[in-house]
Amino acid sequence: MIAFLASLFVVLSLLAIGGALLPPSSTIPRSRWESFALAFLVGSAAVVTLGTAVLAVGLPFLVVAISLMAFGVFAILQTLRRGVALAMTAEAAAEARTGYATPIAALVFALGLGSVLASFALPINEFDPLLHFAYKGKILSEVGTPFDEALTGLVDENGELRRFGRIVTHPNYPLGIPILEALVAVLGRGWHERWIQLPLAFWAMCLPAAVFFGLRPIGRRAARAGALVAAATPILYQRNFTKNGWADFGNAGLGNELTLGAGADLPVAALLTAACALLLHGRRQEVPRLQLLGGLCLAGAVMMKNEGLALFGCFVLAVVLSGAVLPIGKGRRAAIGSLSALAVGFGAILPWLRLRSKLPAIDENYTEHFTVERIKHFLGGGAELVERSPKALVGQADDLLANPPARMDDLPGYFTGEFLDWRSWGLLWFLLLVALPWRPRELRDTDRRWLAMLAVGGVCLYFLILLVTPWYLPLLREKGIPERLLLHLIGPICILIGWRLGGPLAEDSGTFEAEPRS
Amino acid sequence: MDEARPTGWKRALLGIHTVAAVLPLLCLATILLRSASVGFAADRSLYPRIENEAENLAPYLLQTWRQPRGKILAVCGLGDATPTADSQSVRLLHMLADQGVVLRVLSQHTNLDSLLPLGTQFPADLNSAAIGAQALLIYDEDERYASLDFRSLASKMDGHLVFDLTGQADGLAADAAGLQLLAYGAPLGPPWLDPDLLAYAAHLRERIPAEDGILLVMAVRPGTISGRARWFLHLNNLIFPRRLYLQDSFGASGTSVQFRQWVLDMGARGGDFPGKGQQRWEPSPREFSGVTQVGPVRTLNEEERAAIAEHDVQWVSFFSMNADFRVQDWETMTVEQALAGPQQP
Repeated sequence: MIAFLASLFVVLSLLAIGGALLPPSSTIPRSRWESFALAFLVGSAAVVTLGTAVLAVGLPFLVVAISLMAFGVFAILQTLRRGVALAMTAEAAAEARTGYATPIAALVFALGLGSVLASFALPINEFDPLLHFAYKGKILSEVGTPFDEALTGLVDENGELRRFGRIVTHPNYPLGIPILEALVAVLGRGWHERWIQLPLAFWAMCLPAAVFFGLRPIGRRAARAGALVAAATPILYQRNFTKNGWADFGNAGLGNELTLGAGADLPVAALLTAACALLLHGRRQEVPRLQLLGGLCLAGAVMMKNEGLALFGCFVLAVVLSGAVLPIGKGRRAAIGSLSALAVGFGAILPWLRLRSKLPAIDENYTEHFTVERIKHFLGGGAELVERSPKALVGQADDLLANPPARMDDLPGYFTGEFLDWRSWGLLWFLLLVALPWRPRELRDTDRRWLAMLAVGGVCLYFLILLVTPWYLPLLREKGIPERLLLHLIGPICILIGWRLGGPLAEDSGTFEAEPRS
Repeated sequence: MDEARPTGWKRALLGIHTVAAVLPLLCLATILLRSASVGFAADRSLYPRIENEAENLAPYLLQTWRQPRGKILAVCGLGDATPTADSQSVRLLHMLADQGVVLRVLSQHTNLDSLLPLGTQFPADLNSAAIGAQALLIYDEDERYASLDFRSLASKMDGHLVFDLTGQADGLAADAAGLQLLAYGAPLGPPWLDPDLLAYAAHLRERIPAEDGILLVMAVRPGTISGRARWFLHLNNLIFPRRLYLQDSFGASGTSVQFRQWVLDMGARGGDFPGKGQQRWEPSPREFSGVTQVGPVRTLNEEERAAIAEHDVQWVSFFSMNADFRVQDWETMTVEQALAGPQQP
């Protein structure tokens, strides 16, 4: 019971802290659904980035827990007071409504509620969430620091491999999820593998709402379309469902095909979506505060999974190369806000980079493999690393070793296979194709440019990462790569799709806003 | 805000994509219903069973004996359906009989003489089937063989083997009776739900103080590259914050490729294992398992002795790597006992 109450307190604190950071809904109209989602995502990003910073300077995890308790209680009380004081006008309340027809609202609600309940219907029951994340949560809650031998003990003080070392998988994975889990464990005075999942149960529900908020300045129809596309995309919950026919009903929620739960891919996707939505909304409405919170959410995505760092770079490149940070002309204020957002993001991830540099790495040292020579090698027909295949390791792949296939023989097919996999993606990839700003007048819109560059750039980034991976690619395919990576990009993709499907008709007739609204 | 109506093709695309929401709705409903059916607890019964072909099973069963000829096997049932010549059970028994295994079959089905190998015996009950038997094969999935009295059976049997093709046998009860349970039909559940693993972890949590260190020592060269054999990962998680140390833990904790390489490196290693410089021994009684003469304990080599001193270790856990977790494969003792070896008082 105390574990449940602690998890409830952590969720309420995340909501209240996020709510305190966001502008009130009386000034930035939004529905309760959006308010809940944004508050949760912003609050989570704030807690995991600040929590990581506290740990990085060597303070014990208890400081993080006590801070959350103090800020949480304060923010909850403030929220209760503000909720009474800042009632919306009738006009603002009308504007805040989503405008969904009842059946569609019911569908989105059912998917959101179902995703929350399914996330903790069972205690943690997957390899990655158990060993890559929850184990680190135990380290934080029991030992109180990531610099303990439990996490660093694969190597000695000089970084050399220990002859007899501690056992830990992926020691340099970010600590965002472990921090949220450990908060419940510390406040609940014990590790409870069902209730530590409660703060991790809302990503799928929040993601479509964040898309809605991002698209509000474009129009509520666009917002409705984008959010509906996001909510209806199956991979937000589980991938490949019914691929094996009726047998999949017997296996639903078991195995690594479930996206929900205590894994890291969904949090990365949700926080990247929040970053895009807040930056877009902040730029279009010229609300720098929203943009800064977008930068915070971007940093939050970095705290969830190693790929978040690669996406951070992709995001920065997209925003910079699209010209969104050029402080000239009518977009000057928006550009300055975006620059500030990137600065917030950079500042927020620095403690994690410092902390990470002190943790041993088992793999995923992308920068070591991400070289022009290696990319050219594999693009030019370089052979698959068959010597790393399970069969080759036990001497059962002589034919494969004698005639290794080119990596490029398979890799493009993995991606196209995903783009056409309707069970996981519905029509998402086809819709993205339609939604990209192909026409010159669309390309003149800076926001569409950076969103498209992020979506397409993200796909290209993951293609290149898999192109140079030091592992046997078919084995990664068996483990759900690249679809688990592509999921991270669902936010910007759905914003682009919503913009296209529900955007103003004026867009079709040629009158198109090229600059942010004043 | 512009609320103009979108064109038809946009509405159509959006509508088609929205239909995809049926899949997650069905999936989420199924997850909730199935979770409710097991009381919202992760349970191995949620997972499908392993279906083994007789051709795959027979060699495994036969290789447990150096000389199968003349070994007596008590067979508990032939399956729920009326057996035919093509039934898995009948084919399996023919393969065993071809290698000289003597069969004693208990079955609710009749007229089996023409189906089963020549010389098959049909005892009246399980007790008479077990007398002098080297092994027990549990085949039926009905309630009759779901909870056997292993202590009583062990006292009648000459051998110690139990082949479980149902996944229903209680591994801990069999072990406590000194019987080796080899499960070939266990549910395909994940390793962290294995009941024997959970029981052993609970035992260690109770026995070993939270601040202590444990050195894991492999008894023999690892015989499998199955990722499922990485029980030390789960034990490490289940008994945290106790400190576990393992040789070359970087590879053992790594990705599946790194783990396989670690297994191969361990296999290629020199004189650390019994017969290559180290000596097998077994404490009496064993700390948790009731199965004797198959324990994983051996004398420690110099590196392991040095690691004990270096890492402030109070306990040593010997283990054999196996794709199935069996408590007989694990033995934990104090450092003093492990250092003293077979000469201990």
